[in-house]
Amino acid sequence: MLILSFTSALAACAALPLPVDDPVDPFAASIERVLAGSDEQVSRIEIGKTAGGRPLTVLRAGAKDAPALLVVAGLDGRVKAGPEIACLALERLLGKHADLLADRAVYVLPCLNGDAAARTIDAQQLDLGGTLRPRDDDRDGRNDEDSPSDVNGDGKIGWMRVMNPPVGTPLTDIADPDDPRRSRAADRAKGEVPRFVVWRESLDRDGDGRYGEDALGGVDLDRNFPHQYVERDARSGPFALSEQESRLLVDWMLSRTDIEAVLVLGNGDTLIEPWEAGKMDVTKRAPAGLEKADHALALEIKKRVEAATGWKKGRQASVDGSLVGFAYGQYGVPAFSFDVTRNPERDRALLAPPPEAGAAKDGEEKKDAAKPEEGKDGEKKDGGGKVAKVAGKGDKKGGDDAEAQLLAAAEEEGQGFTPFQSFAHPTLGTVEIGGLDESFALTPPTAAVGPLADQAAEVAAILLAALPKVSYGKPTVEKLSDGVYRVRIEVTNDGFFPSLTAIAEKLRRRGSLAFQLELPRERVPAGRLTQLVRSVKGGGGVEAVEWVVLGSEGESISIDVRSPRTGAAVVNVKLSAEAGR
Amino acid sequence: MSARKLFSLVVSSVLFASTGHAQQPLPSKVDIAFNRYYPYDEVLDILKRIQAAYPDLVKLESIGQSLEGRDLVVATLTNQKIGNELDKPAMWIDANVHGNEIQGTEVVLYTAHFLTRAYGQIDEITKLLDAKVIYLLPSQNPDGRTYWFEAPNNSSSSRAGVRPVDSDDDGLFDEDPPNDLDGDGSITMMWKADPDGDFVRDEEDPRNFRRARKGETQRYRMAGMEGIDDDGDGQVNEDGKGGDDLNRNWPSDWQPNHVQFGAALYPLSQPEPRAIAAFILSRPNIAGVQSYHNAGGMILRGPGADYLDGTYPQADVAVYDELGKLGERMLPYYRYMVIWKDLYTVHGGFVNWTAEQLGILSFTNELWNDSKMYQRDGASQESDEALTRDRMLLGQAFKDYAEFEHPTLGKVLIGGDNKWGSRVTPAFLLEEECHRNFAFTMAHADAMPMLSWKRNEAKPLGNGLYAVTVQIENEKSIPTRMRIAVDRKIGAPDLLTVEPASAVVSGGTISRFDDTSFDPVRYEPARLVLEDGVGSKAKRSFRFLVRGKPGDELKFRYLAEKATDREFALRLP
Repeated sequence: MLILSFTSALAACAALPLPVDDPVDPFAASIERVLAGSDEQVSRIEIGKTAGGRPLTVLRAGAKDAPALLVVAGLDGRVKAGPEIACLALERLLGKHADLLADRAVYVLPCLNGDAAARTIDAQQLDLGGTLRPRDDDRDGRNDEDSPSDVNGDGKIGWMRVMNPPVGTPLTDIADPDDPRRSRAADRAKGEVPRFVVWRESLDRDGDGRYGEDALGGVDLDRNFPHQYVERDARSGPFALSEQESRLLVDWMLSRTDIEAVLVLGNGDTLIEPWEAGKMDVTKRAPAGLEKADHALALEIKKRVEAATGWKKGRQASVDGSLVGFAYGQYGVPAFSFDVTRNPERDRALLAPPPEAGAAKDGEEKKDAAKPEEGKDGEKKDGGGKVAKVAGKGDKKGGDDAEAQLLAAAEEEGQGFTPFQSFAHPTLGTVEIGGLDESFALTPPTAAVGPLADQAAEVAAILLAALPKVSYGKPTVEKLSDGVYRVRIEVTNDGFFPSLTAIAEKLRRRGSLAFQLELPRERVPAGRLTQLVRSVKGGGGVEAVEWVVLGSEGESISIDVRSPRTGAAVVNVKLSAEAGR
Repeated sequence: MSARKLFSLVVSSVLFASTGHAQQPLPSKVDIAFNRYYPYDEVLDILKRIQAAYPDLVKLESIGQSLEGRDLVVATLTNQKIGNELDKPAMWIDANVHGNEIQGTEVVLYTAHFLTRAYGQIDEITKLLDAKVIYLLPSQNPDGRTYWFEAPNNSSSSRAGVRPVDSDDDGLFDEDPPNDLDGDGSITMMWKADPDGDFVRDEEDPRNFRRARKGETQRYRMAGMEGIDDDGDGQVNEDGKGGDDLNRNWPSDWQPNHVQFGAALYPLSQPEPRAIAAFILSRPNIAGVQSYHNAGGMILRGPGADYLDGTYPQADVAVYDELGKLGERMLPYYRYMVIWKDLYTVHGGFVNWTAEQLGILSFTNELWNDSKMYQRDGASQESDEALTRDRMLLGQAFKDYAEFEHPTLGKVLIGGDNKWGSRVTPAFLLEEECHRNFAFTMAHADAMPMLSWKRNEAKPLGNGLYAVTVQIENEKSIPTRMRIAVDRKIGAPDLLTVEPASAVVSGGTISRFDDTSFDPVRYEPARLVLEDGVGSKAKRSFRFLVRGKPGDELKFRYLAEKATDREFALRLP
């Protein structure tokens, strides 16, 4: 009966402070601001509560019963800018793209992991930004008992260069001679002698000789969705949708038939770094990335997004267990991820003074605002001397790798990097503590939040404009002979996206349009009584159903139409030589 | 015949002539017949009667509700007066996840019935219920069972869960099921006379249709399962009740519906698997699983997909083999098989979850094999089928073909095997099926880990220092931690603790081959973390350097999730 023993073992360990929940959600004010300022164009839906009892709020704007885009942010509590960018983007969408919302709709869920966003964990424990489901990372029968912590009292949990690790731990790293802020493996073949190992700043609270190896809990919601879910991954949870928040979102999404595209404001990009085309996973049937036909759609979106934002390069979001992966791979709609973490190159371009002064305030200026970003290289040359200098150091080592970029940004901003400094560690002797702040890497500069929200609004607008718009026309009747008529209904799609993506066709999840002729079988010599239209291509694609019907001139017949897209209706048509041609 | 052969024949006749054993009479306080099948409400009633008669051995609890609101009832069988339920190794036995695969439920009822009446009568059973726990769930899918019993079906229908599914994507749900046109309570087959058909009625036995030979007239074509076009879309029986396969909804290699038909919405999306998973996750003491299905006579283990081949470590396969082969001997005409290789691919199956995500040695028995009808190999040729129908089952499982005026097909013949006609164990053989499978699960339960201390020696080294050696043995086949659990870091590792910890200077494992030294752990020597537990029929030895004085007491505890914890006190000499 190990459970009880473990509980008591844990109790025997020094009790760690529990996270303090901020009674007011940090993003709640933003939600209220959107609602208050929206002139009742925005409504609030609560789809459930987080494990900590916070409401999961979805904001909706746009036309009733219209195809909709779902925007979700705040999956990782450490990615602090997401919820605010989501709210700002909705406000800007309402301001600049009201026309799109006349016959489309948008849902915005600003924060899926409200508990993580709201909590403040004492600097004695590292917050991984997930849910706090306990986990025994170091397999010692105790959960969460040895978190990295702020050892040197500078208020941050950094990195330790440990020169005298416990017996049996070999030294591996040196400070990079080209940039001593960086640590890297010593190349023994070149005569380099390793000086230290790099660990998270930590004590060995459980006295097992390992440092900071069992942090506080943590299921990452963005690895907890069922598409390409990684079983037994350290942070994916015990099973897909094991967490209340991810499951509530999926249940809500599955209960809706109007969501036609999804945009995740998260950790990584798929707008300009779309997933690979046509490669199947281990089952040989589910896509590892995108279906080929859907990849073509993604490339077109990429083009539009590049034109609107000037972005060139992003850090691709992982598909594994992610919300954006699920939205595409199992929910079956076009889905993209917008990176709301720090991307130094992008953020620098966003913050560069534009050729025309002032921040973009309306749609037209916004379009212009994209231009200087496209000319980012020029900006680097004339305005970014300091940047170039630091980036140059990184370049020696092959370049613009993420760490080099972050170090350059840190130098530029004078924050985000703590120089390594000697510290007398209680059990490890002299160590050096410092390094890149995690929160710096995950958070864009404060000044970039507004411009990023502008871009998020533009991207949302691009997706809204691309939503499938499926409708069926009035039936047409053609008289073939006395008492014999051909009845035809056309279904068109005026959006850019097809009514069903290639993956949705495979999934057979999203409803067809069903047309059922209300006539006895013997009066319909040709054409099944019930006919289905499944996928209709975008850009004005047309599909049709047809029957040959026996009847008398002037007789009215009925057709039942059923579809989650258009709702149920009965269409009446008169059999007549003149009707509907 | 040589003299030696003759001799051995005589000897074996003498030895084996009397191997028939009668079972001693075991009266029960509850009378239950095992030559019939029970609808779900009667199943629950039987469990309640057993519980009322044996309250110290049986606990009943509803662990949740099915989609249609039926209670999912787990019976916990153990001697509640001895030990703590969660500290005893437990065997989970369930059945009927596919609504039509009914007889596993009777095996589960038989298990409850036999265990309760045998307790105190048969030593093996008494010991088992004192030391171990048996969790019984009679049906994973009571809605499917109920629909199979109450509605017209065949032996394969009502397999699914009952969440309405729009199988033909026409915006209507479950609107065109098969129909019992002849009102016999079963869905049988329709045949239509057709000069261009490929079949004729067999002249020897017109109940059989066979392929037509050249020149033969009076031909028929198969017109599908009994039914009409309920929704008038030109198709027949294309959208029947439900559609989720509750045995594809488990979070182990779960795949969406286009990869795995019946997967439902996401892992554990359906209330039945969800409730069952919550119960099992709260019982880390479960060390054995059996989930009864039908049919074919199989003892199945995972994995369920070709790409998972090789993911069951050799050490585990050896234990599966031992039990699987034992099962083949206990269950005539059953074969021990691997799901993906010998049956078909299964993603998201229940026993795959228990075996691969929870590290529990798990089998699925596919109950009933036709050969059992004749008790000989090579049966079930056509003549045997006729024998079964006419002589063994006296026509009970067959509906003779009769003409029927079908609304769209015109005149058709309706008839054939009724819903009892295959897959379900014939009632007259049911008790045997129950007992053999019950006995197999008891062998499985018996193989669950059982620990005991073997050595305990304290050798004074002088200067108040002692070398204390302890040894623990798992005398059973299932290790305290299956290798898959070790490899995948499933569950909690075993622990060996010594109190007072402050007395322990050093400690660690003794090599199997060298008793003179041990492999010391660097930290916390009084709390050894044993990820790999104690293996199959294995011993592990440990040594501690302890500081103390004569008469000091040391307390040793071995803690394991899937075995009863052991402790003993040792006094320093």
